[in-house]
Amino acid sequence: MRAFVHWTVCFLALLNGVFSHAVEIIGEPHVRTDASSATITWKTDVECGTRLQYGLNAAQLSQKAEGEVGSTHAVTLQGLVPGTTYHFSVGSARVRLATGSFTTGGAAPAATPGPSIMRRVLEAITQEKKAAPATLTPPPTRLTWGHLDSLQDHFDRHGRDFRAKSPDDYAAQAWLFLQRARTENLPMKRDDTDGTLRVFDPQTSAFAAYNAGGKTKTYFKPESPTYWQRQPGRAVKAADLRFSFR
Amino acid sequence: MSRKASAKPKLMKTSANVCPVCGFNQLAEPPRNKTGGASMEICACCGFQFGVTDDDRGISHDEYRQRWIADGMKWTSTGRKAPKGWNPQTQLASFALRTTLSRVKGRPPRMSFTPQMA
Repeated sequence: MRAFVHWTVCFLALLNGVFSHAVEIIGEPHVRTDASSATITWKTDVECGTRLQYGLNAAQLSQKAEGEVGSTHAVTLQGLVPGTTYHFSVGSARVRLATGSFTTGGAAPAATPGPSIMRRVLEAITQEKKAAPATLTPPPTRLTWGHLDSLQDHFDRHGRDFRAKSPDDYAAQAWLFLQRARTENLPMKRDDTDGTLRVFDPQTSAFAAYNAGGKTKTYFKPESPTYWQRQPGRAVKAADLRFSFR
Repeated sequence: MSRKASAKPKLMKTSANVCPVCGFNQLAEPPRNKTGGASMEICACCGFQFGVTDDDRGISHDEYRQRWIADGMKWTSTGRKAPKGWNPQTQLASFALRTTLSRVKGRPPRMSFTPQMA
């Protein structure tokens, strides 16, 4: 019995030694940019996953890109805005190894020092709820649309506002609009009476309403220029939203 | 066992999910919540969208009802079928009666007839 306990303790200590080894980054992330894309590469001392989070605000790295497991990591971001500064963090799914920023469109392709420790702690705390996939694939319509039997009517009436090809396409666009609203902090109002969330994009005049669970109630482009100002509810920010699905 | 008598008289239950335009009583949710927020729902019967037809297009309930009646009171939804035995005239008449009665405060006045002797 004593020998068994001894060997069990030794085995657990060995496991702890194997798995508790912290991944460390070798050197600094290297960034290569052009007008609309950027490639970020970095190396780690052991093999681990590849995850890069990025965004326009260092405190809100809302976009995410992932790669393969390895010790040499590379992520290419496409469709970036020329002449824009992006902030990023690199690491794996479990740990954030380094942060930095880069500017597209001819700026110096060097990683700059990251934000302060306090900012990093805040980022780590809020990271989970702000993270959104880089390439968004809408869930099935039954998960995104509130009252399914009304979808056809909403599509018939408002589908052409967004050149939707089908009710499912229309529902998917409405869901993507909510994701974009969260990423870009579009104006939002929450009606506390029933939890309805109303979202408006001043650039495109697109308006959508979602129920308390994040499912779409309607999505259209109002004709009235004062429609959004007349909508009830208190202004909320993307960070305040809590839905059961992304 | 003695049967307990209920203290309050039973009232006829009326659903809040009734379209204020055509009287269709199977809306998924009330057209407006307690603070006036619209449901954004499209009435499957008359096609009025709460919060859009009125708040954006500026068409009142009465105005839309008149148009719907003039167009023949057709079932508008293409995704949802009309209930079995649906009759727009009956629905509208019932709705008008309920609306009228709901405006009567308190007990309706008792009508009495006293024959006058010649």
